[in-house]
Amino acid sequence: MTDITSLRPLAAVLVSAVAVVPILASYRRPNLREGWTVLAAVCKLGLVASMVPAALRGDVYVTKLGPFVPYIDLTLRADALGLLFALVASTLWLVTSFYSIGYMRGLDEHSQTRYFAAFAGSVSSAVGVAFASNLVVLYLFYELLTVATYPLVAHDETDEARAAGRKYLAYTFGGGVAVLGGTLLVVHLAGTTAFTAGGIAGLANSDPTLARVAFALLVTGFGVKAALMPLHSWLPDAMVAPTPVSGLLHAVAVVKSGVFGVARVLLDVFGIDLVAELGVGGVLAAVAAFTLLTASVIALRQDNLKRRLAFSTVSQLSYIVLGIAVGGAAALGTGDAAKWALIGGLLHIPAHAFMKLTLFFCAGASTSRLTPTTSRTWPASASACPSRWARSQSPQPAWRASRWSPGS
Amino acid sequence: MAVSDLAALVVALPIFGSLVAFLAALVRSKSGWPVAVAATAAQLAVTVTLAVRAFGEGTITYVVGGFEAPYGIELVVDGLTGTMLVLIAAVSLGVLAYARRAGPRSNPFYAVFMLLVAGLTGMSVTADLFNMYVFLEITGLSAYALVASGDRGRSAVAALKYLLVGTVGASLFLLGVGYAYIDTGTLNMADLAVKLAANGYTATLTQTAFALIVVGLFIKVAVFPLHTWQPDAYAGAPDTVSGLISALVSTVAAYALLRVVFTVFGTAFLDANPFAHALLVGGAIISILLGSLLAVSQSEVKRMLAYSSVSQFGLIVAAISIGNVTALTGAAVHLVGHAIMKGGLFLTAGLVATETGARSVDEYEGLVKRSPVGAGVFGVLAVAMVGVPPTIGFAGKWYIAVGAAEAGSWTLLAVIVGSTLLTLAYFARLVERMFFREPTADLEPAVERADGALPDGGDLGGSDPGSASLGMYAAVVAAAVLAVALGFAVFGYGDVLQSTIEALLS
Amino acid sequence: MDALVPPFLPVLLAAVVLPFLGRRAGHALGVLATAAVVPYVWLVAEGAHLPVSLFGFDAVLFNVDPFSTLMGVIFGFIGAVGVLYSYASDADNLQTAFALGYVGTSLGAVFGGDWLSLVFFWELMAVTSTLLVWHYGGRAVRAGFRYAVLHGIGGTLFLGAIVWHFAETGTFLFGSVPGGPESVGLAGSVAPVLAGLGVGVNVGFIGLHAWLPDTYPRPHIAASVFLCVFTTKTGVYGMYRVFPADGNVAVAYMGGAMAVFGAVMALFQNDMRRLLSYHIQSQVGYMVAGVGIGSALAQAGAFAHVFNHILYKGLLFMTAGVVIYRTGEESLKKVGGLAREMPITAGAFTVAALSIAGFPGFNGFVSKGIVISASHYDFGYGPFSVAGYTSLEILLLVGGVGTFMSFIKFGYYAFFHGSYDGTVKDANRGQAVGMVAVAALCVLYGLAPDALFAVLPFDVTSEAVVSHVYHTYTVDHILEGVVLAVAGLVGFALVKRPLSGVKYVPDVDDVYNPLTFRATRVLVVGVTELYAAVDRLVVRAATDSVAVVRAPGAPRPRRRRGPRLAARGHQRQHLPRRRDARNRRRRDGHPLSGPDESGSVSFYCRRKYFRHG
Repeated sequence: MTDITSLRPLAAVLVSAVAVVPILASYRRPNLREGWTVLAAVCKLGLVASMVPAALRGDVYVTKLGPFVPYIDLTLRADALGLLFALVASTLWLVTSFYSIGYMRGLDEHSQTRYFAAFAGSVSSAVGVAFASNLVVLYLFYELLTVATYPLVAHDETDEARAAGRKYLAYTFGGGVAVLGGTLLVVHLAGTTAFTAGGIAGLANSDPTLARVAFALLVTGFGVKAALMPLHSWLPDAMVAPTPVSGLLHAVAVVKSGVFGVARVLLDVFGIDLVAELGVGGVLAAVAAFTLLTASVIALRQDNLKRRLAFSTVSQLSYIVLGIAVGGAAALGTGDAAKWALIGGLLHIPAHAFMKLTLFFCAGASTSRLTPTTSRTWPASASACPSRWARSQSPQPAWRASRWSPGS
Repeated sequence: MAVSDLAALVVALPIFGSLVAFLAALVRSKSGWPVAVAATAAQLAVTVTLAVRAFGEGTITYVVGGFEAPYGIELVVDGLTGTMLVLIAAVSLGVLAYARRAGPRSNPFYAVFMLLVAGLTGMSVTADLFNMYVFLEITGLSAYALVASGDRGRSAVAALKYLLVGTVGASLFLLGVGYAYIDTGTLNMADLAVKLAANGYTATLTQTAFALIVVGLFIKVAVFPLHTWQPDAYAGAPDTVSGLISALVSTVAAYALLRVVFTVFGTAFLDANPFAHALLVGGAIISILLGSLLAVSQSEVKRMLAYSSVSQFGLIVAAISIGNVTALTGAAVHLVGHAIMKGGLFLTAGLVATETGARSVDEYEGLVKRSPVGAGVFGVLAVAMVGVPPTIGFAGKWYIAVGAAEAGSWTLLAVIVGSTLLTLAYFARLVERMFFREPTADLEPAVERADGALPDGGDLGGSDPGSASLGMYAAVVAAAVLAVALGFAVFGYGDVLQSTIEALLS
Repeated sequence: MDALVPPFLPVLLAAVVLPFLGRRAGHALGVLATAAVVPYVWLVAEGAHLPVSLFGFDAVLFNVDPFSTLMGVIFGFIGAVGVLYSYASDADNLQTAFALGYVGTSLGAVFGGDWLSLVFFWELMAVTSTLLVWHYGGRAVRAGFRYAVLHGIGGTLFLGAIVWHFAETGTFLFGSVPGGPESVGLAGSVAPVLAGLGVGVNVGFIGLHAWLPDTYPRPHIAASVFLCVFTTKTGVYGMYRVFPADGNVAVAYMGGAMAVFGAVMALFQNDMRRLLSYHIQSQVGYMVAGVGIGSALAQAGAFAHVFNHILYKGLLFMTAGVVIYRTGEESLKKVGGLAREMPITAGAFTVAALSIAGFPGFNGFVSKGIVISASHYDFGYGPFSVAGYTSLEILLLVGGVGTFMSFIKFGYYAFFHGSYDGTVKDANRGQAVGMVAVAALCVLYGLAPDALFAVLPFDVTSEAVVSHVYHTYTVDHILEGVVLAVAGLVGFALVKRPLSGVKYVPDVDDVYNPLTFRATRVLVVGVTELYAAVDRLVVRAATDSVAVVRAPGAPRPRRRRGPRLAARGHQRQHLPRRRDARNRRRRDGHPLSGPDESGSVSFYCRRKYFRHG
């Protein structure tokens, strides 16, 4: 595996952040503004995709920007795991951009400039999370992601939206604090936080109690965005955001950044062997399993379509965490089991992204087409746009449709 | 002119500028501003030269009047001093850019302004404890005067309160210096350090001196519960003044605290006196927590920002109490960062008041529609203040936290890291109101102005009252840009500062 | 012949393009694609297999052994007949596409050479068959919901067993496949139990069977023809894969019990397709018994019965479908005397009924005989053996009597009893072609059992292979068949009168549907409320602490529930909203209440989803 020094990872991160400026500047000309969004999305996807062949060869693109703070380099690495996440986020951003344009214009939404600018900033942060080479850079983009998505959660400017925004900030910054604390402990214990395949060597020889505390802090911190119960409560409330936001950010980019953080912590900070040795993998797996079941049960009772999808997200995210955690718990046991659990967990990142985004798009399309009086009577929408409904149902167990199927 | 002479020049220059500004009024009124700008610009040039030398070639020493230490007064410029000098000059220049339109515009104001700069600079460069007291008083007196330069009754009351409390602080400091002098017979810091060590750190006299000096400086720094002057002063002063003093006065006081604790008493003293250490740790934790909580409960924006300072200086005190290289680097970084961010925030608050008349938290609703630049800059600075990377607010906090981890101070670490959330608590209120609410209907800037509530010198001149000048915009935008950009420069800075800090701790 | 193309591929392709073709062309393609499967799988040499990598695991998509071949041949044939019947019965293209998807996934399941592809297609079968049911709408929807839930549970159990097996052996491949594990079947002690239960849902174990009579009577008549074939027979095939070597005593007895239970329950039914559905359970009982006995003879018998059962049960559903198609009536009480009106249908029915009842000369007689023979020679006597008959054998024989009785009832009420008012047309040409073709095969295999033996996995006429060579037409066998028939006749005559008074006989789902409903409701409501309470508590704590900080000592007004962190001294007048759109969007589809929306009980908890009709 060789490192290729290149500005490509940086460019891939920054292209949408830079686009924020022209997007804001062209607020008077919506078509031009949306043009910038689409242009940035295409560039971003192109840049990310251009790094895939190297990743398949086993090479890694690296952007080195020198030291950032003591012990920490400001370095971006587009390794396979990161590229997986970045590719999902940037592909779906392009798709979501077109959807957003239709959705926002269809509903004649206010503050569209702010919306598109914040969206571009969020995606930048998400790709930054993907390409972070150590915990501090990861934390950097993790926090920026919070900041960039906050305007989207509070977009509606109603009391509910503001309350959701406050809750969002409280939870995610609280998580950020835990991540920061955990990162500091890792720095203290190992002298570095650079992601290393198989774990940072220094951690294995350190005080196990402190290592456990660091692990708990990091996983709690990332678990907020990964919506592990009982830290999930911001997610259903955040559904007050416009549907494309719920779709791309709260089913893909933001929540996956939390999951991705958990994956990094287990795989590249502690390493699954150490996780197994510390005995923390099993605990995490238990939490994930609990979340998986409980969230599904709660989802059953949500009449609001987006809230139901949100709880489904909570549940599905836990599949990913469960896979990773089981990988950690099983590392000392049979060899292959850990591998399959990890592959399964990580594979669910793109899989869930595509499923859930489709579902949200369908929910949003129905919302934007329905007249207000029919919001409680979904069958109208089912018969008005059956193909959309069919798509909406397809990735999920199909009985969800029963309520709206003709003649029921 | 030798480089070391520049150390004297940085003190002399602002004093000279102050005199010129005062005298220029005899020739032509409203001539203070150009004089002040010229003097400050020159000051900036000199300080930058000094700082570059100090970082490049090591500590610069200047002996006043040829009297060698320990008998004469010594001026010392090391990396830390250089930092403070540049900071003082740069912030002053920025505030001046802001002040041209915002006022006050009288020549005496600028004279006092330059005097404050001189006091702050003097506190930074001096290596003599009594000399430091002198400059502390100059700083204090000019600050009282500046606060009082607002023409409202509120300014006067605030200034009076500031005067009373500040004088107590300065007196305590003087008492402490006196005890130290009795103890050792010297006032030179380096010499004091040697002699105090010789006397033994557990001597009652030494302990008393430490306690008095530290508590005196706590008042100046505004550490809870000795902070009571600060919110009134900041909120009561004209916007220009609150920008300046919030950025610099407490900062330099904290610098003085750092200087006294490490240059005079040293880490060995703290190790020998758990109580002294506990004093610092306790002050830090209480300040961080209660400052934030009080900030949350404020309804006026400037008061909220003032309480935020109480909390942020808690972090600096925490760094001092930790007392290792990383933490002290963090203290330096956070001093600079906080000065830029908080000064910028106060100036922005002033800008917003100028544009819209909004001063209370509730009046900030929907601000982005009425003052997009103000709201935007406020938002960026708030985010920086919360400590979101890669801003300077994060960098300072990171250094201090790493220092705490290195020292194994888990309680402090938890408080420092947790302070992020407390900071968020009071800024999130504002950000939400600014961006995600409809503007309130009953607020018109013109109405506020007609009340005479505008806190500038009442000297509106011929300018359009409702508008802010380019200089005001430039000052606040520069603060926002610096708050983000400096985050990337921190590592290099920490690198060059290392030798200074190590010398300080040795 | 090179086995590069798995047989499900053309069928699934046909399913995908079918909705876009015309009705005639689409159905023609469907017939072609399914019919082509028959010679194709017949000609592919045994042992051919197509190794692939599925999700990164070794898998075999096309594995040919005698069991698969038998399943493939009969699936292809009945699939083609079913498409033809669909065309003739006015099924629309989309429904037939779903049906073809169902056929294709079933083919995928029986030709999979490993557990992973088996369960992969197994789950897809559940999806496609649910779609097939739902497509009809109306009463079929809720039944389809229950069907999907139950099959979801069954599939999950099966999946769990397979994962368990993988953890034990490290491979998904069948033992018979090159590279597979040493042992056949599922490894470990837990996996077979899980798999038995999971597959038990598909084959209709007593207690897990209620979906059969619940679902199959409700969709389109052509859909029923497909449904009655694939799910349960793939289940039998799966059961064989789980217990390939020596069978399982419990499974065998379960088979016997199913044979009796299904036949008895069928006797009480008046809805034609519901009656037939119970008979699926009964007949599958014979197959399950065969698999459970586990000897070569028994397995051959089980699969022979699979083969035959598909023919006559397909035929029965086709005739019942024609009756419904022509009269619009579902109940035996509403029809009668149709033999004169629709002679082809009546003839086909008679053939099918005699086949299923196992009357000599028809194919059911052959295969049922093999199973009963195996239960006699290859199985222990068991707890209630009488006069040399083993317990299992007795169960199977009693089931045979019940079968006779219920089909006498069906035929009597539908075709011979009374007379029908008005005129009814007989089956149309397409339906007739399908029915006659299948009926002919029923007779053919009954009269020439050697043709049937040729497709069986074990040669039942060779002493080297089976414990007891099977001869179809011996005096004993024929006598047995006739005695059963006579017993059935007598029995029906005896119970005819009391039976006509029976209206509705409850089944297990009348217990577990409301039970599931209540339990789920308690669980969901309990969890949701607990969650909401905790959330309220946290939010209130946060709100209160903020209020305390903001105004220490001030009396705190109790605010409405909801995370309003900012308590303001005075409420400001907001400007009028600028756009209606925002208000509109807020009203629909956005969470309006605070932490949880628990005001109304969601559809999941509405009782109707757990009730019939």
